Amino acid sequence: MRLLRIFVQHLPGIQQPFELDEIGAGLSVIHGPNGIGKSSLSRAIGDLFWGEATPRTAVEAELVCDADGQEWRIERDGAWYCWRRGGVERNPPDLPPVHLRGCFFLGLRALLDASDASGRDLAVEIRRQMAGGYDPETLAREIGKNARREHGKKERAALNAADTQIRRAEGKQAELAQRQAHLESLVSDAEAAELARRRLPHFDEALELVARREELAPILLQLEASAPALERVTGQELNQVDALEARRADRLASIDKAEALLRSARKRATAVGLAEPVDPALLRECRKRVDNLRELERLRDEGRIARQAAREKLAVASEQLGSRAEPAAELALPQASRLFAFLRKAEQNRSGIAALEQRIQLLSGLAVNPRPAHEVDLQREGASALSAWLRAPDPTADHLRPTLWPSRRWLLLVAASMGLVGAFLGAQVDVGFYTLSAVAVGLAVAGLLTRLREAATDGTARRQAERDFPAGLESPSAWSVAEVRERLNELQNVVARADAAEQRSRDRDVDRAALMVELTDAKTKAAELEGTRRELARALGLVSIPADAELVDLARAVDELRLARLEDAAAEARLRELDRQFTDCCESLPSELTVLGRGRPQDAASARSASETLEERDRNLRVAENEIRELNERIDALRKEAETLARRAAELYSQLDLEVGERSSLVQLLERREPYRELCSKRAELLTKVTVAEEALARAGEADLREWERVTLESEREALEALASQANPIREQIAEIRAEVRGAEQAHGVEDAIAKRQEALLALAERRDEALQAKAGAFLLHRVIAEHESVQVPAVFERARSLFGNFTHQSYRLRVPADGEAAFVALEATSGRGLHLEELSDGTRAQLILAVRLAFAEEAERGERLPVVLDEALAHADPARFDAIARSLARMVADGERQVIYLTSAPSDLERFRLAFEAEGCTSLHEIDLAAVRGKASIAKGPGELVVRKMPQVPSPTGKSPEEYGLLIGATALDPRRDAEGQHLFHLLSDDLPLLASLLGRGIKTVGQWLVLTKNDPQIAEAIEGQRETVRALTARAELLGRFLAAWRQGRGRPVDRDVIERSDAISKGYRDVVLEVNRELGGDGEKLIGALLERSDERFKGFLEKKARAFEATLREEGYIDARDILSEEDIVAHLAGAPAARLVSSDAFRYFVHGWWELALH
Amino acid sequence: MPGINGGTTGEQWGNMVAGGTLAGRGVRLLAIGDVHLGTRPSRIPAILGDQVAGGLESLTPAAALKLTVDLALEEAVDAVLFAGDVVESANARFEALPALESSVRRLVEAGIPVLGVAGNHDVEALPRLADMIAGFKLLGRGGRWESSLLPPSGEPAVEIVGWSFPDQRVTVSPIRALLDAPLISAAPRVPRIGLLHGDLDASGGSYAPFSRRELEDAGLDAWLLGHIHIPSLTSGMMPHGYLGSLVGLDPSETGAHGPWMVHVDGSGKIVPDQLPLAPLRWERFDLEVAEDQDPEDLADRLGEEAERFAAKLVEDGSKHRVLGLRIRLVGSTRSAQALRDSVAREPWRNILRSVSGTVVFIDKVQDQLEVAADLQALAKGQDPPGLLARTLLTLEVPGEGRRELLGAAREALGDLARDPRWSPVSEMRGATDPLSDDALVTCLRQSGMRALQQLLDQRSQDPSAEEKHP
Repeated sequence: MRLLRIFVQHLPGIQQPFELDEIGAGLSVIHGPNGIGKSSLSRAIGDLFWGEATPRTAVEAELVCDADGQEWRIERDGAWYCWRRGGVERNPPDLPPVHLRGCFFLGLRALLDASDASGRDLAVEIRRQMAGGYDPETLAREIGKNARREHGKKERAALNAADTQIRRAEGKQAELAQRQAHLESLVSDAEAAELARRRLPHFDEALELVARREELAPILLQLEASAPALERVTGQELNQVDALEARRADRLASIDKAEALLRSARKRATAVGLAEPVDPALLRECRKRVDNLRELERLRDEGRIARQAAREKLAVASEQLGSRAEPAAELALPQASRLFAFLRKAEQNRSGIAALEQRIQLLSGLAVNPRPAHEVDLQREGASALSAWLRAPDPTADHLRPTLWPSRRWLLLVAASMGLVGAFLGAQVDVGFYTLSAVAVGLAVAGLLTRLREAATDGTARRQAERDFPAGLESPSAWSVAEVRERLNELQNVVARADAAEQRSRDRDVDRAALMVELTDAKTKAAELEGTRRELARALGLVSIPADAELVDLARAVDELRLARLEDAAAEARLRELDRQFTDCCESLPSELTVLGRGRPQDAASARSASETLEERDRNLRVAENEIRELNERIDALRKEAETLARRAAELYSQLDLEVGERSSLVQLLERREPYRELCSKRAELLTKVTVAEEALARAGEADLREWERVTLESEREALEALASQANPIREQIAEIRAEVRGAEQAHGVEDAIAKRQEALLALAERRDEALQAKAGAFLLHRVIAEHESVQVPAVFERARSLFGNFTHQSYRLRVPADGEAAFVALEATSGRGLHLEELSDGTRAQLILAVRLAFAEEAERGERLPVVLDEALAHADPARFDAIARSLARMVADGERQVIYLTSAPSDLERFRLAFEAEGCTSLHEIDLAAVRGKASIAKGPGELVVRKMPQVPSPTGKSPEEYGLLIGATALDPRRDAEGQHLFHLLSDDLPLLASLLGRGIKTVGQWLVLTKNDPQIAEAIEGQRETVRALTARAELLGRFLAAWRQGRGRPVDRDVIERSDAISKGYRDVVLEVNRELGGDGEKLIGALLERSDERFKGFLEKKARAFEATLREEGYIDARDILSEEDIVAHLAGAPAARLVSSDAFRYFVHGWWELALH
Repeated sequence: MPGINGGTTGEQWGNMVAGGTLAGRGVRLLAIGDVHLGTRPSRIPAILGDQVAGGLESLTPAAALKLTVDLALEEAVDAVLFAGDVVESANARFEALPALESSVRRLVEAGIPVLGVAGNHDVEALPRLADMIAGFKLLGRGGRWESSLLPPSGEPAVEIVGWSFPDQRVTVSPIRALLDAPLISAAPRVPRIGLLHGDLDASGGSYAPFSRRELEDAGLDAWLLGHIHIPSLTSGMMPHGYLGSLVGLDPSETGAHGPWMVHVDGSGKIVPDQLPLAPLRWERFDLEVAEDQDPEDLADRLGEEAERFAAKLVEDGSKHRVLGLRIRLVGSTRSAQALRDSVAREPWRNILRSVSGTVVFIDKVQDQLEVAADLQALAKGQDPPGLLARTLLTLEVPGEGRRELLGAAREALGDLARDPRWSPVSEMRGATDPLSDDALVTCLRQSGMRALQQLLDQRSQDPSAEEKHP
């Protein structure tokens, strides 16, 4: 349907009728100033088409149009209107529904409507067409929730915390390891410190030594300056000299006295009369002989007395023997012995005979009267019968009853043994033991009786025994076992006693017979002794044979007489011998005893006197001589002593370097002695201390210190003291390190942290898998949606997307959200972001709505194509986009598909359309000056309104290098931080500059625009570039660039921006500006920024908490500002890209050229 | 004899085996994988401490090492080998050293030589510890290949060739150096066993990546490897593989763990035999959920299945003290959401069971329930469930469609997967690339199944749905 002309009678705001009768078939640009009625005209046309829908509109107009070669006239007057064809009112042709009216009549207001409601009706319609009862968009969004950035954040935070914990624990362990490594050094230091501590006292001693030496030095100088003699002065010299002089005077006086005594002694010696002292041996001999003489004299007196006593004793013995006949001869000793031996034997024999006779008489007195034999035999017979009775078996008793009666063999054995023992003991010890033999016989009998008992097992034996019991004996009171046994015992006792008495009688007879034999022998011996007696009497010359007692007395008297005679003779002989010895002794006295005119001593007393006199004279002489000698010696000694004393006094002077006798000098010297001694004492004391100190140092192994000077010692001591003061801290440090090492070895701090990290890592892996699953699910659903769109997408939407892509130079891609929450969404080519209408600029929004309306206009037409009326529709389009839209309209018009009426108040728009139409080779452009039509000339306000800015021309690449051409076209540098979509197309086509120029000429400047174009309108893309392969190769390059940039960013982290700093809770307001400032200085390097925060080396970060820095670090890591992954090398990236499917669509030369080029550009 | 590193002198080394008669009768080596002294297993419920003799300490690597040393002494093995990561670097000096020092001292005093190589974890700690502990011989210090004959004195029976990490990160194959400059065998015709810590068949990375081909080219008779905690040592012409961690340190380290007794007979034949001494064992199994599974009975059923599983392990000869289980719910059920809610409540948490002396606990129950619908049938539709079902089916068929889908998914998930917040996850033991094909397929399938179920649930909640989509 094409408008031919329109007559306006009346419209709201237009009272004057006018007619447009030259409306072209193509684009008619109706221009006129604002208020001329353009919008009214536009509304009027719509009201004419859909009159029934606008009954209350006050329109009075008539419109003539051509449809299918037939002219139609639409008349309207207020609510009345009709369609006529050939003058006849007819039903209107099939028009789009009235709600799509906006698709054909687009005003500036509608295009500028930023509300989301704009276009919602169309979006709803599109969705309605696409819907199939499913809501994959919602499902994809639901599923995709797990792929959001927040997913895994908690686990990553836990992982980061575990990492931090591990790092801290590692840090502590590393620190501990370092400290442990220093243990040896510390131990060495401790030992050194300890050594220093031990050496310190030695240094004190050394310093003390130095002090003593310093103290000693002046003393030594003073002493050296003193008189040498002072060294020898004792202080007693004066007293000594005086004492020596006094003693010497005393000695001289003593000499005088001694010489007087000497003279007196010499006189006494002379008076003694001995020329010389008597030999002491002679004196001893004299004394000895005098003593012998005196002893002989005493012995002689005793001999005389003894001789007198012997003579008296002889007289007594003679007198005692006087009554008896004096033996003819003196009894010789053998004879006396025989006499006495005879007397002993005779006495013994006589005593033996008396004893034998007494024993025989005793045995005869003990004879007993045994019982009559027949009586005993009778009792023995009775006992035998009773025994037989008892041995006989008891006919009333069970013969099988065990019996206590011993076996016969045993009885016989015991009886034999007892018999033998009894016989032996009876013969050897006592006859009483024969009883034992008797008992043995009884047992033997009993044993034999057992034979009988065994033989008779019935009562016959007992009855026989009763019959055998002697009648003369009292039988048992009853013939029972008890009574029989009792009676048997009585009889056996009686028999035993009778047997014993008989045995004893036999034994005494034997004894008496033996004694009688002994008595006979003794009497025989007495007869033999009587012969001996007579023989002795004869030998003694006795007439009669005296009795033994007399014989004994005689023998004794004879013996005493003999002894008396012997004693008398001996006493006489001794006296004579003593007399002779006395005489000899007198004669042997020395001659010296006879001097002085005395005769030889005749007795002991005179001899003794002479001897004593001689001894006294000798003694006097000796005393006098001794005195003389002693006095001489004393005088000599005194003289020597006096000389010695004089010499000693001289020596004293000499020792003190004084002349002998210089007493005053000595006094002076002594006066100086005390100070000197004090100095010496002090010196000695100091020397002792020095020596002690030196020895102590030597013992301590510090002998060298003795030679050190004070300065050196003090300096070294100070150093040692400082070192020693470190001993305790070092030891504590060592103990602390060792304790920490033990603690670290026993603890599992890092292991626990690793375990936590592993748990967090597993959880993070699960979250990642969930996210990937979610993303994969969303991917599949989006793919389904896209495919569904491609299959099920309405043509209207496809057309709208194509138009919008063209209008925006492929900077956007149109989307219709499935959830119905928004009308349309424009996907930004460079970023992929979806922008709602209110987010778009006025121009882009107008273009979007225009594209959608135009598309719907085409769709909504039902047979007839209605003209499109655009009222100021491009008022906000920039020249480029105006051109794009104008050219789209030109193509629409050129195809003869549709009539377009464009209403504008800008006269320059006509020129823009003209240029666009020329570019598209379309000539169907008409101009209608509405002001002129309505009689109101449109006058331009200024030259500017008539000037049309020319479209920028794309420079020709001919003769240009890629770099030169890039500069010429203003290509932006490759920014590796941005995605491929935002990069200039130059970076994909620097090897094909003509193609680049061609695309630039169509407004395709960025990679994103190209990619949108290929998606919005593949056919157009191919048409532009001529062949399909070129399109695919260029798209592949774009994909490779995208992969390259992603790989390049790995490990590099994106620059820290203001946004993340301001968002982070870890950066307080107080530090925010500082952090922003440092971040700028560091070029947005996240790792450096965190390092600066942690180290706090920058004064501006003083006080910033490590905890906050760690938290901020975690945020940066999570959001990719710090990328822990390794940075890939160019080779890594090449290897990575080579595996991509897109690489197969790019020649190897181009691949190498671009990838290396991108690498270089990215580095710059 | 090669030079001795560490604190062991040649004389000490010789004295250790004085009187030994290894030659001619072969040797038995006790090989120990990653011990990680200074750590403890994760996800152990605290209440377990009251139920296990010796408490939670009896489940640590230190306790497992003590059991291993007891075994070495009891069996009087000829040497003990460590394949790296003996200690965690963080706390080696004070917390890990005592346990290692005690163990090595016991072995040395018993005359058993101890050799080891440093891994990425103990690259700093182990050489230092080797210097401190007399009797511990570190092979390949500073990244230089080094060999040592066993026994150290007398007629050699086996040669151990080792290499230690010189730095925490090694991006090139250490075996390459060995291939470029082979170590001359110190005793020809004596079997040679490689002792290495690194990443087998890794395409790159920082953990000494090397390939199986390189192992073969090196010409050694066997390779005992450390680094990966899942044991994989195989027998055959050239036994090689990971010794695994001495005790499973987290639920991912499933299966039997413990040292390996490596028998080298007189003919040079090498036969490894794992000794499952680890006091703790992790396992996972799938629990098929019936279509009519009552959510209220889920906890009881889980307990019963856990007991049954534990009993089976005990019956098969496993001697662990504690068994930690992860159970995956699989199958399709009408009450999937109710089951998920039940799983989310974790009713089994802190409930222990005892099976033949083994304490059993459930660590986690994972939901991998399938959609209770026919994917093929769904995929015929053009609505969102149909398109999603079609996408899921695409995942199951290798081809361009799956490659494109994985590529797109990798693109979509890349930023999230590489988000710095997850960066520590990639450093986990046994971490895998979440964007690898296998991981992506698993991830997409699980999430897609869940999304599909939820989409279908949307319709089931719409009363008019049946009319719109019969």
